Amino acid sequence: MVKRALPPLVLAVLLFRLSSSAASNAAATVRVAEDGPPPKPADVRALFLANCAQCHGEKGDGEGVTQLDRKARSFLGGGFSYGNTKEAILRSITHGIPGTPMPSFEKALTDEQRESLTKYVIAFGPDQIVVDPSESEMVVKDSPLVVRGKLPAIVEGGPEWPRGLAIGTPDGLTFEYRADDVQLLAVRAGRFVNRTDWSDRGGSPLEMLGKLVWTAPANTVSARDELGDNGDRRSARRLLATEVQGGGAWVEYAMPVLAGGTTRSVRVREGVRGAQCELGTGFIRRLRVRVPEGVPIEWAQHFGTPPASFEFQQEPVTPDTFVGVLRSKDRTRASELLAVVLPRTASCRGGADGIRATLNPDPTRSADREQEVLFVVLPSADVSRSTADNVQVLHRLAEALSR
Amino acid sequence: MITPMHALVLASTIGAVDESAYYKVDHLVAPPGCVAEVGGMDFLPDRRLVVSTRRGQVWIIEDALAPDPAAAKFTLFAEGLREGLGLTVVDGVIYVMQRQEISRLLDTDKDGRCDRIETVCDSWGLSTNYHEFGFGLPRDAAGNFYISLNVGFGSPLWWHGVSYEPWRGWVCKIAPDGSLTPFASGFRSPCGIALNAAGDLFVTDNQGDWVPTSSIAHVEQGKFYGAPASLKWTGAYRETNTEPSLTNPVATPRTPPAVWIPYGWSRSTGDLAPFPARGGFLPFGPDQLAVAEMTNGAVLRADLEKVNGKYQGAIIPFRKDVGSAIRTKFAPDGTLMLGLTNRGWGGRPPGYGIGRVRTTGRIPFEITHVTLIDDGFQIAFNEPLVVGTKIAADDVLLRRHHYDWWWEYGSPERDRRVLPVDSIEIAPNRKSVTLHASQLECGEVATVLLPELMSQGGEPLLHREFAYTINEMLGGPCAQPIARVAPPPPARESEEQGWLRLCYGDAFQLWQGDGWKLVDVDLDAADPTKLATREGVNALVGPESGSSAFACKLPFGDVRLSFDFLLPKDGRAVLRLMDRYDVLLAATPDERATTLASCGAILPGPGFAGVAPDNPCFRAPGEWHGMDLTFRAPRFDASGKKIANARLVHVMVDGVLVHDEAEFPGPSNGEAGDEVAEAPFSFRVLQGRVALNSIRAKPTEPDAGGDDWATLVFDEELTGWKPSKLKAHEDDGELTLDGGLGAMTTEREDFGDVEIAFRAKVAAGTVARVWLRAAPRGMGDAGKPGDASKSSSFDAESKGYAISLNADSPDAPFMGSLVGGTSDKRLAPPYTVQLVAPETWAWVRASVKEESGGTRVRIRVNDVEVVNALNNDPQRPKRGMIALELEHDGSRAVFQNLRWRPAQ
Repeated sequence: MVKRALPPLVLAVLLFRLSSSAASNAAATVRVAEDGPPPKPADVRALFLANCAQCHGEKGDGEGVTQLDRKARSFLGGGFSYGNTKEAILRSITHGIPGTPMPSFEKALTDEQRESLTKYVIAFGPDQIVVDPSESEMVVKDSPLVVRGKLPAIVEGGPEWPRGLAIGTPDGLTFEYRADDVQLLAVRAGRFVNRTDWSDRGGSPLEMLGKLVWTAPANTVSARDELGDNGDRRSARRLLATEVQGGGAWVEYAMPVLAGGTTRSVRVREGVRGAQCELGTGFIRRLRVRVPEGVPIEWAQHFGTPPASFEFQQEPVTPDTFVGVLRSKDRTRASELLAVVLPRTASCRGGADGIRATLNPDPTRSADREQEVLFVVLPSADVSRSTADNVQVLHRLAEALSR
Repeated sequence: MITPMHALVLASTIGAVDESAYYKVDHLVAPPGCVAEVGGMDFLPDRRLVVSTRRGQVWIIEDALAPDPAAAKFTLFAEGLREGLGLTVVDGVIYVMQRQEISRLLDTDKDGRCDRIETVCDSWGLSTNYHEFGFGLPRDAAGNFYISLNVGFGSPLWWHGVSYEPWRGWVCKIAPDGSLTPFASGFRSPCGIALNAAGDLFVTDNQGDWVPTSSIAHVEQGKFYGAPASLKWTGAYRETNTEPSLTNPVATPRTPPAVWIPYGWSRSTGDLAPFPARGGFLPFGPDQLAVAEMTNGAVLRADLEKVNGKYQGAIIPFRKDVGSAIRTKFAPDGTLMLGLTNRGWGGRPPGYGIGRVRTTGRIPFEITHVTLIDDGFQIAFNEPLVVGTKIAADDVLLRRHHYDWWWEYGSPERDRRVLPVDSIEIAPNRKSVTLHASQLECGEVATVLLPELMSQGGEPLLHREFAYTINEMLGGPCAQPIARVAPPPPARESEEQGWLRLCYGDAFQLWQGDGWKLVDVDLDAADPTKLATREGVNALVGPESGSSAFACKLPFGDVRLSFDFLLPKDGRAVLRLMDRYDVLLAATPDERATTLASCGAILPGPGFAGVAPDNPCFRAPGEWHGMDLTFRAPRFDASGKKIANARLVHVMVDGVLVHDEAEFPGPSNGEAGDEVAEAPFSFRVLQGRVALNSIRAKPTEPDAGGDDWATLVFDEELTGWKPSKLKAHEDDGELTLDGGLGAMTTEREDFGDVEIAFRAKVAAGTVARVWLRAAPRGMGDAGKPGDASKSSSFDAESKGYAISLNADSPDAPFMGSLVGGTSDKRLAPPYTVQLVAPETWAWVRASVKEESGGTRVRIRVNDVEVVNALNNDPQRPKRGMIALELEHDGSRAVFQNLRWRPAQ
């Protein structure tokens, strides 16, 4: 029997003007009291016949008896207006689809009933792809992996990063960057990522599997460099490339530098990897750049967790390089240690928030030659050693890298 | 003769003749572990196929054109990308459109694996919204790339596409240096983007808000194609610091798409590919486009022409049963390659992989071109019609329709109508026919269904139907677009606003009626004068006639009422307003003239004759009818003398106007006594039974009256309120309490006889309360000093008076209930009916006042008194604070115009 057809357009419009809604009234809107009996799985067919089949057909083929301006969705092909995930279909059943005769069942049916109907109508369609996490986990073996995707909040309650970049290195670290302006947000140790965006409609954040070992302090990560109203975003660093080469992973970006009142852009190549030495474990950022004439280039490496008091020392390590070490004054306990290895023409200073290093043009060398800064971050280092010890350890680290 | 009844549903004509005899479909066999959810496809110069996938992989496939689909060899070239929804090969280099950037993929060490990913452009906005898919990636002769960017679907108003970030809803051009130019606006979910053979850019969009049906637009710089959210980033809106309306038509001139695709043919339109100049797909040339359709798993063919210099034309089914195709690409050998994926969207299986459509060698008989002429179409075929073919004008079914341009999801085909075909002529060479229809109109989509025809070579006409988008006739543009401005539907979130739902949650709390039950109902198959009931919740049905009335306990004056009713054959009942004024509900189908016995009649009473309805409105016994009426109570002067009759402003039944201004000079029910200003309404059965549903009442929004009200919330600092941990903020007169558990209280602790008024809106699941005479913590009994250190909150066991603002949470009494104090000393039964929907404004007034017998407590919701109780427990406080409380996490309540005055 035909239960209900929508009124013709003209009359429907008139009715809208009177601010009623025929379409929404089409739903049964009397609701069972909360203490009604819970639905049994066996009842779902009856629920479907009572609530859905008039339009969608007893077989779910869209051939219901109700005459509609536009035929109801057939479930057989598995297509749905707002997606065929359980969440999306439940939402459509719960709230209806505006502009269609699909009404809201929020009031007419209980949560359990709507959920069981959701599963029921999905079952009409073809099998959906189920992604096993073992399939979507990316495992780093002997070569780094680079992943672009949405990054989840790094700390609970923090923002998600819609344009993210994660690099997994063979030494078991994961480096998370905001790709918009190539900001290192966090470093993790452990497994790499699960590509949760392989499920559902896409758009979900990557699942980071490692444990956080270092987090950029909140005040050093600017608010996400949102595009201006005109979409312009020229003032910040810009991602140029990612590369995996010789077992190492690199990020390349254009970095604006101030030179004589005007902004120039230099190309920076940043390599990341783990650091393991007698002082502790952590990670290394290796920054390479050609320093243009008259344009000193400065970087900062911030503490993730600054010590209560600090001490900064500089010592030469080779005729061409020197190191700066920033560590806690309190030598009795492990704490974060920052170090930098720099060419002799460079300069650096340490402060409460970290190390600033400045590369200067090297008059003895061609400007085409890349200079390199090595930042070493050891989140929980042995800070009790002598300065000479530290220099030796860092020297060995740098040597190992250059080999 | 063709009549409308002959008209097949469009979709059913897809492949009415077996397409597989001409176009064979197979799917490449991928190795285990390769789930090729294809978003982009192109060929390397050496004919290897490259596909990018939604899983962020790029596969290179050798022998993708071998006869055996199992011969294809898949090699993973790149992984870790983000949704490759477009791919193109330029000089042997692979470019991929990802959600977050366009990348150039390089293999610098030539080991067959990508090792360097260069960012070509990432200058468009991206929020965290899942729906911000980005599509590509055609490249023009000058080296510019084009991309199309979805709008986001937020929450809870997900049906309004939103442009959260720059260029969402735009087509953008990316120059060879990587700079981005926003190119054209007005897109919603533009999944397909391609250049035709002439180098013109075409973009498909998917039906939804402001996109009445899926479409193919010829996209030109600076133009706007109809979905308004994207306009936010145009100069006009930025300069005025305004946002485009998502619910009312914007004034920006729209460029119509070249093709509106009938809903039956495409629900999720994907990419386009120009047919090759040569290859297996005779008879179509490069001026036509192969269009992917995911939901139906089909390929359509767009046959465009330029009329007055603008593209428009026909859409014709091409091949069904191909799987969930979103991408089309012709191979060097003419094979139509299909990229399939439907994850999370849904479509015909197979749901992923790579399909191929190739010719079987047998050439079909097809419509090759449709050309608009002054008064019809010239329809060309690839083969001559068989000698002796005759076609009568009546053999051709010509129809037309247009669409609504509005925010709701898609549009029905409006005013669909069969047009007479005046004549049809077969050309002397029999390779075309010319159809004349003088009534063919500009600004419509015309669909033409030809009769079954045969070629000279004996092939049946494979696809007999096309839909042609007439944006312009040869004489010039149409007076109105095909997608027309329609009256905007009421905002969905406000549809329930102001309504009191009288039988939600608990169907009976507000009603008196012996023997009335909640059941499901049908006509009794054996006796249509009876109703058969069964277990269910969809109808309120009383016992057989002679039964008691179903009477609402709440009194109403001016009110709008809406309810559904169902009657058996010969069934009759009345709606009795204010216990006095009767409107007839009667099973009187098939009437030509209405009488006082017709459904909707105003029944006579002492001294007046009644009013017959203006129009017949009853369709059939056993069908639900919806009645909607606006009633005005009689008016009385100060002396109690009636100065205006009760009247019905309007009565409608399912959109049929039954009364337009009709008066009751007196009651129909003469036994009710004098007319009054407020009284309950009821339903009474006269004959048979009646079933009711969805009974709602909407009183007029009250004017709080008086100038002695004092505002309680008037600034962002929340002056006058104690500091509180509750997240509360004031903005433009609106106070929002969001998140956790907690309360905020007034600094003043001595409100005694007080009345408050406010508008409140609560989110689903919220439990909120507004307290009067809330005692500060430690001051549970009236008069004891408070503990200053804890005075930011108040005593949870306070014996004050609280109004529950819960719309739908089963954890607490519903909206309007008087709570507070211990539950065993409730002054009024809690509401178990859910009077007010979540997320709608309710107007609440409440007062406490000492009178001789105790404390009088009154609560009105939407101008209806829902509580009137007297407390005579002397332990309850005589004064206290006003407090706003959220009872659990995740609650949200918004208040407007919160104010107080001494109780009167």
